[in-house]
Amino acid sequence: MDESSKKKIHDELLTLLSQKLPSDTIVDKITKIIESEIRKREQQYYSTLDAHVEELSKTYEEISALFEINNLLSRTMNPSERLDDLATILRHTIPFREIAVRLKLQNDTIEFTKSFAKGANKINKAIEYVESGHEHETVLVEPSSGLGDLQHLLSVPIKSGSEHWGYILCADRESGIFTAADRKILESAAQQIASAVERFLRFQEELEKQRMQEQLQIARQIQSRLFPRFLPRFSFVSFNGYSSPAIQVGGDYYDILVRKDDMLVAVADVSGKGVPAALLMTSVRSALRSIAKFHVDMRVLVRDLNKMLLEDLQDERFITMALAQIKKDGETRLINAGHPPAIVVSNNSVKTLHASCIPLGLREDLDCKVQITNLRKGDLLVIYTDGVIEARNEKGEEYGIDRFSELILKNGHLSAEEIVKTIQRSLTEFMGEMPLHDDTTVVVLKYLGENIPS
Amino acid sequence: MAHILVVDDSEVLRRIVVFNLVKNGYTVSEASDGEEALQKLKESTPDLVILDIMMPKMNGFEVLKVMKQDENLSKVPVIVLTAKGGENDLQEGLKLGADIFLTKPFSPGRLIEEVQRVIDNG
Repeated sequence: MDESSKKKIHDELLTLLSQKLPSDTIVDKITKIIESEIRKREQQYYSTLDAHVEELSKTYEEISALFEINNLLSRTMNPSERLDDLATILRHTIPFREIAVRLKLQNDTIEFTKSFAKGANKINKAIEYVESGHEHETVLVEPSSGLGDLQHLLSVPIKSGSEHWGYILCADRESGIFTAADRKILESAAQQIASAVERFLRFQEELEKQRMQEQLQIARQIQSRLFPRFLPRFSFVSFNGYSSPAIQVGGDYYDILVRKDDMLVAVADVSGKGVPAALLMTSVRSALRSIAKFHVDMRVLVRDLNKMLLEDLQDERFITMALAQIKKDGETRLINAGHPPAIVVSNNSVKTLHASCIPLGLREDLDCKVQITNLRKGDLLVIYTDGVIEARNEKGEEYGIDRFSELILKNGHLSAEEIVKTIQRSLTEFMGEMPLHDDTTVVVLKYLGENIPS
Repeated sequence: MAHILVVDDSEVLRRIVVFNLVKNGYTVSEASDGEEALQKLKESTPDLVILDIMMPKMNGFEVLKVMKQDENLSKVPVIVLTAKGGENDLQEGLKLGADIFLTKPFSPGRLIEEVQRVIDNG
């Protein structure tokens, strides 16, 4: 009891006693004085208790909000799908009229706004203000901030570490100004959204990686089935080839076809990568194999092959191809459709057979010039894909056609198999630690002469 | 004004609930365990019961069971407050005829919304 109350009671009692009243009246009056004091104290006590309970209730509300937000976001994969529920939970503890969330996830921008009061119309102004350079900071606007119409705004960035994903803002409080407690809650909500976003993006990445792996596996399987499993043997040529897929699996393809009086060698490169390229290779292979049986004329063969492929091709895809027909007497007819130059080594010199038309699959009326060479005993024909000459070393230099033809010329005396091995070794050495960025395919063919018995 | 019985053994939580109910104009009576709740229910039938599950002497489920067997009390709506929010609690509560479940810590604001909805529907 404070001194003034004590003195007041003291004075009241003195006055009472000085009045010389009957003793039961005095007792009665003293009881009333005490009762009134107790009532006053009770009222004080209850109003303090009420204030405490109100504070407690608010804290309980905040804890429950954080708990529920955590619950909500941990049960969902994509946080942007649960923003509506999040807004409802938050509103139980922060009495805002409008709320907005902006999230930038990879290529997606999520724009969420919700109004909890009819006629609320401050949200666009609030967004405009935050997006005028305040997205990365906590913004607290009060009427005294002097922003005109915009009197109540609380905005918190959604970020984790150095990554900034967006912001969450509340506009227009139902009563009073946004408080430090409101800010804490919103910051905590933003933090939980950021964690959920990170989790979501990691999951997406994993998923994408897994999908790529599966695609790659499929593409590799398709591609590996396309190459000739057993190389046929001929009396007039020896040959060898290899194809090594890049990490991404491109669209390289090579094939050797035996016919009655001659043989065909094809090396092709399909545009694109992965499963679509692998599937297109399958079409090239079956188209070539089916029509190669009926055509002797190379020009007609390529023309018809192009027509067949055009039916299968979609969008901007195309196929570069070098196709050579080698007869027993060494006469070689080669068509180069947009493919890197074929290399002929004859009599210790190198000749390159450049493309004489555009790649297959681009236009209906493809007409390719046939390039004729007469191979003599010991001559080489080398066909390959651009992955070989475009291979790069750690300094960023290209392997290049000059280095390639020189290597072949220098090793021309070796067997086809040994030449292929030499090429592989040379490429590996050149590239060092660099990965293959494109498939590389090489076919080496050595003419042995017509008269060797089979 | 509607009359609500709040049953919870935690005095602090009961005070929070009562404070919010009174603030919104409801008349409230309180019980701190299951037995006291049944006693209060015998004295007068409320418009709604807010019932904690984990309580000494007689738990919330038992109170609910008795209520649903009583002709007078079986139609009184019940909002259940559970600590765990476990699937079992939910199943059992629904089986026994609880109307709404709130998991602790629950939002007092949400509780008031639910109370208003139940009473308006009644």
